[in-house]
Amino acid sequence: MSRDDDIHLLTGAYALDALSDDERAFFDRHLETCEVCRHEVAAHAETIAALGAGLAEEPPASLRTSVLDQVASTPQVATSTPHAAPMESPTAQQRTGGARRRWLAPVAAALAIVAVGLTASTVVLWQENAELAETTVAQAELNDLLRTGALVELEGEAEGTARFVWDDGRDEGVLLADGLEPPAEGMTYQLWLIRDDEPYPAGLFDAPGGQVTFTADGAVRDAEAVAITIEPDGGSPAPTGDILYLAEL
Amino acid sequence: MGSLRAVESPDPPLSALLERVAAGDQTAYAEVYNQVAGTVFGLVKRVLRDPSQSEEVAQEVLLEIWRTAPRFDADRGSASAWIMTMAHRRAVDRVRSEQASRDRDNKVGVRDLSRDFDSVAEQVEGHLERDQVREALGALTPLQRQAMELAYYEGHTYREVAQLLDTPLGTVKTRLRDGLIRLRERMEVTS
Repeated sequence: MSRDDDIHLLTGAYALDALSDDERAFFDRHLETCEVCRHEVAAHAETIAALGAGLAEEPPASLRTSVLDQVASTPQVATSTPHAAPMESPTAQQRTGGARRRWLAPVAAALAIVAVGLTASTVVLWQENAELAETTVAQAELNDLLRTGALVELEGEAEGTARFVWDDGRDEGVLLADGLEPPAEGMTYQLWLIRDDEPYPAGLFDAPGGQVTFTADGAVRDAEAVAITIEPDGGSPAPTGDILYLAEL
Repeated sequence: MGSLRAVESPDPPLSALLERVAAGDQTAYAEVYNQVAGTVFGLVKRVLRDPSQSEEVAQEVLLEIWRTAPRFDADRGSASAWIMTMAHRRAVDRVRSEQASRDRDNKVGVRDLSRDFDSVAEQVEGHLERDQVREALGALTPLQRQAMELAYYEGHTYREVAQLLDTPLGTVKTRLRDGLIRLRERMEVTS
């Protein structure tokens, strides 16, 4: 895993709008905690603007009338500070005291620190799963969840990277995995949500090309942990394979 | 914050105008419109190509400038960068949603690209800017240049760029970034 895969190298693609929507949402989140990347993106924006200036072309006269008319009747937004990230998601106040939940800002901060070790594909794993993502959760909702949800990295001995992004308020969670080994013939990946120390099946998934974006099937709000095993096709009511990945929620 | 003198002079600086726009000043907005509408329209049209769609998206962007002017913060960057970022993003969003229903002939796109940045250099107003842009563009490697053109003018994701140029993903990602850095060094655009 080389440093070339560092998340920070995405500043160029981000500034040129060359990230997919999911990746953009993810990088927006990274920017909240990474001052270096914020500066770099701002610098890129200046460079790009200077290039774009050469493209000026006289717009139709009707455009001016139409825009100025609309301006007269369009309210403006309130002043705000776009980069001042909320320290906690709104649902954070609702959580129970015992649960060790990690919320947006701390998670993003941790992410920025560990990012050096991540592969590019970890960061961009959603791109090639656009179709799958659409069948599991609407793209806009997924983006929203990626922006605002809590995030945890699953730990395991197996190849690849798996993350789980979830939101208690929406009772929804999405697994984002990359670099998974294809299961043996006749086997499938199975996701589990653990409640009261009991694993509950949360869906079967394949990982074409090792990547997957998969919405957990079942109540995420009460789950204490999430895990992945390999099971015979059709899945199992309780895990029979080794736990390949696990994270406490 | 130096950039876009072509746009920002000799009229009142955009950032000062935007401050007034943020306070609801429609006269100041009309002045902003005069200064940026051509650039916004030109950029959007370069990405979208279709004139009527471009007009539609340019209108959205121009209205967005009015609507969100209170959020513009001169400490974070120049007014022109703020506006161009907004314009490009809207155009790319439109291209991508169009793309969902239309398979674009990418090979033609690649062939057409070779002159893109040269024509930009031609069009930049004023010899100082033009020379700066030309000199800066000449400093890019062919791969940096092609990758940036496909991303910026064609609205391709860097993954698509990697496929189109048959180049590893990591290389494209790096070239987009170091290409921009090299341009910045050459153009002495500061932020």
